[in-house]
Amino acid sequence: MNAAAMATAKLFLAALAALLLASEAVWADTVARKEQLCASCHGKNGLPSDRTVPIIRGQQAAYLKKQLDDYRNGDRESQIMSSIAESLSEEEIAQIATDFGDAKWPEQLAVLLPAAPAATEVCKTCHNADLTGGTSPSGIAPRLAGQNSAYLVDTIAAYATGERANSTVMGPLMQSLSPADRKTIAEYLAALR
Amino acid sequence: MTAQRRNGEPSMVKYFTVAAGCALAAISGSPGTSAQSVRSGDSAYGDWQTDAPGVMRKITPADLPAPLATPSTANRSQVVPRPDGAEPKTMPGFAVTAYVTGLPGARVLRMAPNGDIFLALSRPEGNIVTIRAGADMSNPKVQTFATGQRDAYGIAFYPPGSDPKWVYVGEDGKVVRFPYRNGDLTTSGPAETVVSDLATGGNHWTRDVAFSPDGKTMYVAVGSASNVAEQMGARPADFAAFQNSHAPGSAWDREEWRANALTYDPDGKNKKVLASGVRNCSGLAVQPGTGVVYCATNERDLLGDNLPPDYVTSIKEGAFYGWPWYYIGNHVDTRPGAGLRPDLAEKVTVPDVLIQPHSAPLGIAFNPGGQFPPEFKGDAFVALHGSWNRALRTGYKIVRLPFKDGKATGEYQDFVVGFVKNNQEVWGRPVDVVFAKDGSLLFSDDGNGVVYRVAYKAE
Repeated sequence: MNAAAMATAKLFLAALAALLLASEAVWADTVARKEQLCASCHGKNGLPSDRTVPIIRGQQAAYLKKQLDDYRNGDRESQIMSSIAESLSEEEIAQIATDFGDAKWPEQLAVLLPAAPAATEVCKTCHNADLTGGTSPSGIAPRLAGQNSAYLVDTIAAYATGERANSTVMGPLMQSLSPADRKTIAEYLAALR
Repeated sequence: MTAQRRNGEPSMVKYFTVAAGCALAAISGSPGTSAQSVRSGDSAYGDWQTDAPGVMRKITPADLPAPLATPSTANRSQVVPRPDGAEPKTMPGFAVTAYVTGLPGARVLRMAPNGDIFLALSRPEGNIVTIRAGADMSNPKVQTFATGQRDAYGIAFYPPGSDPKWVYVGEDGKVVRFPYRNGDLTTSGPAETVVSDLATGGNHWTRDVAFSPDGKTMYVAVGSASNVAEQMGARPADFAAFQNSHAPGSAWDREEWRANALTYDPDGKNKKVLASGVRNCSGLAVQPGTGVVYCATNERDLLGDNLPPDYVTSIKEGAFYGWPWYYIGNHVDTRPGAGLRPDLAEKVTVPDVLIQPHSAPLGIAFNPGGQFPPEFKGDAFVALHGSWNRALRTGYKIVRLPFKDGKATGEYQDFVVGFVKNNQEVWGRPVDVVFAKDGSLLFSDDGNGVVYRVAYKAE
């Protein structure tokens, strides 16, 4: 290749690189802006002021991705989350799940840890020994340790009644818990650090 | 009517100026007099802090800001117990009291011909209760009419008139009916399924039901599955046939047979689309005297604080109200999957009464007269459940829609306010309204499970 052609090729490659970088910068800005929308309910510092809203920062990324996909396709219902998930592309969902998964679980004040209810041994089978979640026999289990107790109580009830049905195993498991059990389990999980 | 898009400076600037300037409207002495100043244009927009009994507003299609003139915010309300000393506020001459408490999930309110009140406790129980009171509404007693009706919502007596034989209930996936005679406070027989294939799942689960005055037609309202059908796939293969069987403005995939008002025969046969493109007709009412169907409708999210207006409208047979491709006339929404619909641009009906965006009108009832001032007879009263998609909260109130010669004027007036404690916390979320046998107004609150009563006493 002669010098002129080489120069043109380099220019072309430089322009292409600039274009790719620029579009990636624009796209990242959009995702960053969308993540600000998440913060309005899930907390700027990762701690929601409304305790019925779950902590998502530092949650298992694959679990977050599945929930956003499920909200998007109607397998999990919530008026707010469905509208938001619907507005996200597949790439954005993957990026948001990764970003929140990579972040650190928020600092929480230590509280007195109640005695572990016997039923939580079953939780550990999938949610792992320290209840921080991860790979399990039935998919990626979310972190439970330190999750908002009000959200956990609502979630256990939702699985038990079938109002939430986007898990193959959680329904029957939660049905087997008495209302008293549900509360003590939620309080125990929420107190874990 | 061609709607015009407003351009120029974001209305947010003007909106804050107005909010800082505080109450502009002069509230005239007695309710409903014509010397009522109406907030219009940018000053028609506001938030819970600019609400007050008697404030009259009128939003027109020319007042719409551009999409995302303000960023999209998620601002979920937290329901708290009634703060000490807090009372709902209403217009002069009216008094509002907590009528019955302890009704978790209180939603749809309807009155049987004999005056008994039926109330759906939609979630989580799916129960229907009756409230029977003395002639002066004293001493209300609650009894369980039916249980286990998942997402029980619309309630309608059939045949219309003084001697119904059935009470119909719109619920998850179906419309059922219970045998009923005047005076029944509990079911005398099991529910019979009349419509078994109502769309289910997705964002909008309320299924209101009403009958035409001649008893020949049952109306059922079904809200959309999604916000704006962004994930909707390509058009059905034989699109002309689809439009023929479903209505030209109907959407497909998860949205099939949704975002509309449907008609059936009372036995559930003969399903047809009455009107399409109605995103979520949560409250369905038939106007007494005219038989015109009205929808209290929730429009879409994630376009900014002040877009698009929710609305209350008369429903014209065969009309298309825009969803998902358009809103408030031919304002284009580019988000729906499967592309634009220029073929529908000139076919979008503009709704009658535009209400502040994100207010969430859920229920509507017409005032038959008998207690409220004469100038309020025939007006519609609407319950606004309240916003999540707005930086400054709005809704959480009952509004009056003045009617003149049987048609809405396009204005709406704050009637009962005061449920917002601060921008995060509320202690009431109105859902539905009904006029009781003495002409007073009852409304439900599914936040704290209360039915309130608004009575008028001429001074």
